[in-house]
Amino acid sequence: MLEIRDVHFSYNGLPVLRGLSLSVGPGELVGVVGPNGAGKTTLLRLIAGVLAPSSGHVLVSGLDLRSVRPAERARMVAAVPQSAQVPRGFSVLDVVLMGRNPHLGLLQWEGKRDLQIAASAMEQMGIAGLAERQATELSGGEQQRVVVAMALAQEAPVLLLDEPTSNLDLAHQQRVMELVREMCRERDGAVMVSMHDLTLAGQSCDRLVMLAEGRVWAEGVPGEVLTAESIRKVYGVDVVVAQHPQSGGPVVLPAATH
Amino acid sequence: MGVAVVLLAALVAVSLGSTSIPPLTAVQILVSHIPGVDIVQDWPRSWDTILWQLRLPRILLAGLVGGALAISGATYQGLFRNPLADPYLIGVASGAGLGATVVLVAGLTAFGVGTGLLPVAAFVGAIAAVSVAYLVARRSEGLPLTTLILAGVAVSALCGAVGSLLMLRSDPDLRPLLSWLLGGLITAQWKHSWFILAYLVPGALVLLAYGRVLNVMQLDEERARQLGVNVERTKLVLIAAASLCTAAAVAFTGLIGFVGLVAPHVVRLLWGNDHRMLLPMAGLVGAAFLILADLAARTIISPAELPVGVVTAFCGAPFFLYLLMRHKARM
Repeated sequence: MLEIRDVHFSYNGLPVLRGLSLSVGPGELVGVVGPNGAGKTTLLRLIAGVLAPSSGHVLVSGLDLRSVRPAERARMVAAVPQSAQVPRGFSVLDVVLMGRNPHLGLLQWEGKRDLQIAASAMEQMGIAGLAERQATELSGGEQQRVVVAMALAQEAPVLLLDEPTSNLDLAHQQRVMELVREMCRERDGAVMVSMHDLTLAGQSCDRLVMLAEGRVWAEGVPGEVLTAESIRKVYGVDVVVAQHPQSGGPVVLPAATH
Repeated sequence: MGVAVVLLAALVAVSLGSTSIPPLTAVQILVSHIPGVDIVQDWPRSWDTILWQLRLPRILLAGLVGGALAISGATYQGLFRNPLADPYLIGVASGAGLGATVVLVAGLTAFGVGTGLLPVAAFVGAIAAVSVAYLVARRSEGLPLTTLILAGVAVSALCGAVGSLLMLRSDPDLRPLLSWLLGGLITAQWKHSWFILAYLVPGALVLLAYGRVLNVMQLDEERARQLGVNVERTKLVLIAAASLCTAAAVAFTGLIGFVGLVAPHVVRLLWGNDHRMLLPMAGLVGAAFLILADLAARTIISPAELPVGVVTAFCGAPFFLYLLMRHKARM
């Protein structure tokens, strides 16, 4: 469904992505991991159409994103950026309805269907009760869920989330990742999540892509990607990868220093 | 409701003045001007002249200028995501000022065409200043709005300097320039309103059409882009439409301050930030505000007049200070 073919990207002459290829199928949840500066955020912004690749192609359902108009691209790809802030002076419902923008003409107002879609997106994120509240009055975690609900209301087959758990406490981290999994199954969409927490990434995702210096370093099921050796090479740090006592999945622990 | 407020303000303004006319009679006089309507005239002929040739064109002009400044101000505040933006932010005022100065200093008044040329020069100067700021700030990958504001400040400073230099180097009667700079509606004529309408109607329609897009732009440029907004085209369209409305408004009435800043904020406080509501309501509040400010300007020290800019500043500046204090508390 989402296919990235040999994408290169440079920022101010410095190469950030150097020939990166990968694909995500329908109903698949793929986690993107890698150290700071490996190109995770750049990759997601390229797919979201905020940046254009210097060379290579990003295809959704076989269509090159560079060949489509902005509104059409926004109907194919929805993205939740890293620092999710809500604008002042709008209710939660107003903000979630902004996700309907690519589906509306210039003079068109949101209709019944848009309201239903926004309502079910808020329901999914557990913020239906907050619909009439001012978005800026909510807690950080609630605001983050508002922004995710906005992306859900976009109803795009490809959903990108850049560190969706970075500002959340343990319970909300689990909850958001559970929701992302549910969404992925229910909508049969392709979901790509960048994450710093390797253990949580391994637990939640079907497949992991580990980036290093703008290339795919390792790719596969979490157990294959998250090995002590690959983490030492990519992150330059010694770790122990243990087995989760219940699921058997990889648990990444810092190595004992003495 | 907003329309009712404007009409009420207009009705009060029609009735009051150096000669007071009862509101009901004022309405009768106005109705008698509708072709095909016959009303027995039981009012002095002079009332008709005062109303139809002096007050009404002035009230209409005040309403249009107030509306144009407020809707442009609301647009700039939304586009720049800066609550302290006003329609003069990126060079309209100083460009218009320089245009007006050039006409006066060149002595074009001596040929008796000065009054006719001044608004044209002001309009051209305003558009030129904004265009220069725009072209300087533009990059191949887009228009950074912070750079545009800085370019606007620099262009404004340059226009001001050139204007001052021109004034020092020559010796014209600067009173018309001074009264233009202070802003005023005393010379209002019907045709001024028609000129403004020619820009305001298409300009305002474009701005109103972009209401939802402006809402999405409140997120930030990157997310607006992700939501399918053609961000660069939106910036160009909004800046062009708002600048044309403002330039047309200042051409005849000069630099009337605070309407474009205060009116949008009154609406924000009452109805929130949805630009589909904010833009039209700001226009109406701006219209009513300037009609009433002009009423005050011509009645308070009657038979003399205050410059309307003094009245709007007297009401607007304290409100502006209040806003600044509120924002300081928030940050």
